[in-house]
Amino acid sequence: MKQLSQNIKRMPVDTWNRAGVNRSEIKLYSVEDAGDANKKFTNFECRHNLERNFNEFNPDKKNDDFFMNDEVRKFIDENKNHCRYFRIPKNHIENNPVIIEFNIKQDSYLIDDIIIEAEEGSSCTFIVKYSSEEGKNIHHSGRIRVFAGRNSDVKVIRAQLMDNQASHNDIISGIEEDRAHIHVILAEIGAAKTMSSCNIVLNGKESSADVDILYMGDGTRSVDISARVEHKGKNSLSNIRARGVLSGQSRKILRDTIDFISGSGGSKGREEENVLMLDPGVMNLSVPILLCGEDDVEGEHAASSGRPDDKLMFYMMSRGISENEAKKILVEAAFSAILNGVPDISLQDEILKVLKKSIE
Amino acid sequence: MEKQKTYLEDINRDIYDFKDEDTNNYKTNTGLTPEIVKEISQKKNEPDWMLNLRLKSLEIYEKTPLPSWGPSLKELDMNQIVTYVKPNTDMKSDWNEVPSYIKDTFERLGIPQAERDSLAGVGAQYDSEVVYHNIKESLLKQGVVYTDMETAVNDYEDIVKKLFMKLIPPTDHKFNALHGAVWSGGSFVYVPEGVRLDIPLQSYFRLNAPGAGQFEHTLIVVEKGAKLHFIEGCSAPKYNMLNLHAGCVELYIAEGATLRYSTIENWSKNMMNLNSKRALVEKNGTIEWISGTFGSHVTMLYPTSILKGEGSKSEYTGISFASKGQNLDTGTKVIHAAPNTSSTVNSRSIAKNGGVSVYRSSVDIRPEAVDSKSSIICESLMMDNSSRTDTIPVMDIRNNRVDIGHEAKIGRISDEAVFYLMTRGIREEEAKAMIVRGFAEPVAKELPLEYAVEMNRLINLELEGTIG
Repeated sequence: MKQLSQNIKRMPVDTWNRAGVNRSEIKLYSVEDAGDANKKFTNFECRHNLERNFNEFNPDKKNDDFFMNDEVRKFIDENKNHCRYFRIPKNHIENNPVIIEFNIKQDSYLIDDIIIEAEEGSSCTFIVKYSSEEGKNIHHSGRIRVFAGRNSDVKVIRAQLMDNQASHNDIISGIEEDRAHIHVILAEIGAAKTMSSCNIVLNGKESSADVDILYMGDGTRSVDISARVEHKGKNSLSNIRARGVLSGQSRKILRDTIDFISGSGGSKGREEENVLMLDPGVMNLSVPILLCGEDDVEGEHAASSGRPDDKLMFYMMSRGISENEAKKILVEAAFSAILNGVPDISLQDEILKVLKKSIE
Repeated sequence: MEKQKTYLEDINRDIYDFKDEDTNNYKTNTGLTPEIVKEISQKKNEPDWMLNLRLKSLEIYEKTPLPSWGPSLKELDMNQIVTYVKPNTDMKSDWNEVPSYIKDTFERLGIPQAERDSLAGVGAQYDSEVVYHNIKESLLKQGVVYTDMETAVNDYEDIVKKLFMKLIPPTDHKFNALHGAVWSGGSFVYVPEGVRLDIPLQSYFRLNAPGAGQFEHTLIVVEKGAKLHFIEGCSAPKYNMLNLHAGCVELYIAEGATLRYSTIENWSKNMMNLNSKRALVEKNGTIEWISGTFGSHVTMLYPTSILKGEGSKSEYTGISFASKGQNLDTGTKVIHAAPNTSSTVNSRSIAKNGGVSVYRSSVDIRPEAVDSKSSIICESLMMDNSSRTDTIPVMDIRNNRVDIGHEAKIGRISDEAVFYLMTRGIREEEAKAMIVRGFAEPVAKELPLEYAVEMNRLINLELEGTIG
């Protein structure tokens, strides 16, 4: 098996090394004969016809230097074993979501590369779901790139529900033209070790991005997430929301960044994180960064962390609800604002089921 | 239509920007060698343990790299810095005995006047040595000690040996190691159990020599139930070469004690200000940091509170104003290491005319710090597109019985706020001035009066359009 182990930069600007947030170790796996592994790695299902041949993608649009470590990019380029290219034609409004499901069945690996190109005025929703066979040593690495043309609207729900023995790392990147909108829902619910990134560049004027992050840490799970929106276009808008629940001995780092580049006048950005910490042994690191090189902007951040509110718990328990049930209700309430944006009810239920199970 | 903007004037530095002729009694060669370190120690007639600490620090300095984060320090060439400049006088306790040119310097800075009007004691450092130190007789009788660090090394050796560079060890970072090797001057304060000072002590640090470094060490011990307000001021005239300030402040706050540490930093814009400050707070003790950073070319300053005792508290209130040629990287660190500890951070920063203002912080909640609370608010104003203002906080929370809140805002003043005030009959110009003053007010109100007046002068608006 081939392996790349790199200590990669995870912050747009560094801070104290002792804080332990500047860099993280990433491990990527492949096999010597990728062609053979390609046939057996997964069960794959894609229910839609917007797909094009991967080679049709115009390489001039590739954003390969997009906050991605050179070595990691090279490894993915050389070892990817699953490529998909979707193009939504001009002014096409697709009402049915494109659903891509990876269910990795054997001791194996997946390196996927998905490109979504939304032409001017088009609209589409993508649901990309990763799950894996229970108790298997499975590795997933991936890359999703979204190119949102003028006035387009793309929603990507990326749900990671892999088994507790799996490892997962991926990067979602987006580039937007004038008045485009990208909405990413990133659900990190499974895997022993997760490292994911979501980077969006608002190039066009009045373009906008919503990045919603759900994460769950239980047992000894490790979750490492970086989200970043860069405002370049005038009057652009961004909103990064994160909701998390941590229990057991789990560890989580979330770095969220809004970067106002000079020239992005009239832009607004907001970051928000709420973390419910259920057990004393959790480790919860948050790094909410605002970078500003433009005066005519508004950037805001708000975060809160703590255990479930005592008064709420007392209220529910005094009405005969058990402590665990009360916690489940609070977690569901915390997640619902984001989960309601997932159009697939069965996926919503699946995520909630895993969350509730972790509280038991 | 192009938006109009409100402008803030630069801080008037005329009152700080005067130079005395460099008539020092003695100074070391430029650069840093074991010989220079030994020379400094010998001049001070120090005990062996201090010389050994200096030499060990020098070794650490040589092995330690520059920080890999924060503002660039590449301009700093230690081979061009004179680390020790002894002024042409010994320490006095009567201003009339201080050489007239030095006395005039401090008169222009208003120090003797402030001492007469509102201070319990004053220390004045000129280049590398303290030239004046005095404290009210009544405090001496209560056992309060306020003296220069050199005197303390000999007269209070037991305390100093036990505490000196223990809270901020030379291994902490490169410039602490440098400090350990060449420190000179600074103040030692000891407030005995139960003694509560109603009026502040103030130490003022003036660097006059061009191309020199100032490395004063401040060590304060506030015993059980005692209370102190300590004010630190610093300034220097502007030269065309870099000066360096790498001071070190160690504060020990015993059970139930309170220390307010106020700093108004007004270094000239050729100064690299790489200062370290740390407080160790015991059970139910309180540290209050008031920090105003207006001067210097580059500043890296993050006062740190270690909340070691149950129920201890830290409050940080800071403002920075970065203009042309300035990169002010400031903030705070808090380590909650005991149950029921609490911290609040209230930070304001303004960047204009190409200045860079960075708020950087770290709040650590250790597993044992159950039932602790932390509340952080930081707000930044950007005045133009050639400036930068960044906010880089880290929160590391390792138990669930906590209540942590963090809010940050970057940007300009909202049109709605101006409109609201105008609908209540306030003229537009006054409404904007009120809002900007309101922005700085949480910090200004915590400053000693004379500095608050200076802050208000700072907010001297040329009112045209909105901020932004």
